[in-house]
Amino acid sequence: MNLLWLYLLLAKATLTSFSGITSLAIVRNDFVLHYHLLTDQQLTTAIAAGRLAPGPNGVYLVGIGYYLAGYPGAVVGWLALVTPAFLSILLLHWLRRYCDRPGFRRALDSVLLAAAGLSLASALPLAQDAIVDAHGVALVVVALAAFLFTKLDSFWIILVTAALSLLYFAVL
Amino acid sequence: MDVPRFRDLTAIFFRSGSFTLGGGNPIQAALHLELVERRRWLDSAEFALIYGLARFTPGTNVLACSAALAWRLGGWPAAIAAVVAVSVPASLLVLLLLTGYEQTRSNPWVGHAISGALVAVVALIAVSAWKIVKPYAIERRWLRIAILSGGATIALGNGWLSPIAILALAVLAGFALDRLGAK
Repeated sequence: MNLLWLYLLLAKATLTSFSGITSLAIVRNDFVLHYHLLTDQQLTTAIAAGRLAPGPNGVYLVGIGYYLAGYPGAVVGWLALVTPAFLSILLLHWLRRYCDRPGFRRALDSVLLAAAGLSLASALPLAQDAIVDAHGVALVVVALAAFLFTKLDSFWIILVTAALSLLYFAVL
Repeated sequence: MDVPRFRDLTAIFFRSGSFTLGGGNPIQAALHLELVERRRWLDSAEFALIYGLARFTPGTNVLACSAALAWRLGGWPAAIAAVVAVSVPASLLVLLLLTGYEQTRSNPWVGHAISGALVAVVALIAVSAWKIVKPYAIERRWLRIAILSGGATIALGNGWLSPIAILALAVLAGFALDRLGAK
């Protein structure tokens, strides 16, 4: 795989998202749906690994790069992850004059609301793969309740659902 | 305010990024504690400005915040070191987890544990989307949520438009809603 091409596609995802995991929609659209280089299972596994690690949420891109092109791909994924960060320094010069303007804030509001919709749309096919029986439905209800109504870190919630799944497997 | 040494500054970003679970917000809270409250290298207003600007920066907010904070305190070398310190340890751990998974995934116990973890990831994505929408829901901006979030979900879910086209259209739709006086 051409690493420059991989970098450009991943950077397209990071440069058009405004929080760690909202790049998911573009990554899935490009690598799962369009080029068929990645499966939904690999995508979800990379996200799980990213959430089990400390640090930024967007770090799952390193896992995507690894799945697509091994260790060199992981480095490319990391580069795509960190590239936009340095724009903040330019913005500190340029944007601080504009960031309080209502029009600018409203444009960002629109992007964020649409990005939430894109994340949800990307989660639906992943849900179809991951939730295949009543046990899966029960687990997703537990996970949703834990994310919404407790202050537990996602690390623990992912670990607990994995343990519950193991317990179900062991008992039945 | 003291001028921080490069090594001390990088160590703070390394500790905050490598030992703080929960993603961007807890890391930024840890940075605020270290840089503003404990060491007083920045005042709270400047931290808030940089935190706000990071929200406008594409990509991962906490990396943008780290780069700008470190640049303000130590120039470009500090910015590069901070981004590396926050992101590389987590990246290595992701690789370790994935290579471990690939070597053991034929084991049915591992397979069942992972399938449980994947269900949690689906819940996590849905809740992340809700957390973006929630402040607008509290302000009862239902029409905006329905058109922008709902429209994006439907357009991408049915494969009508690419994500980038949807984001561009969302900006235009947002301005149109402003013109119509929608909340």
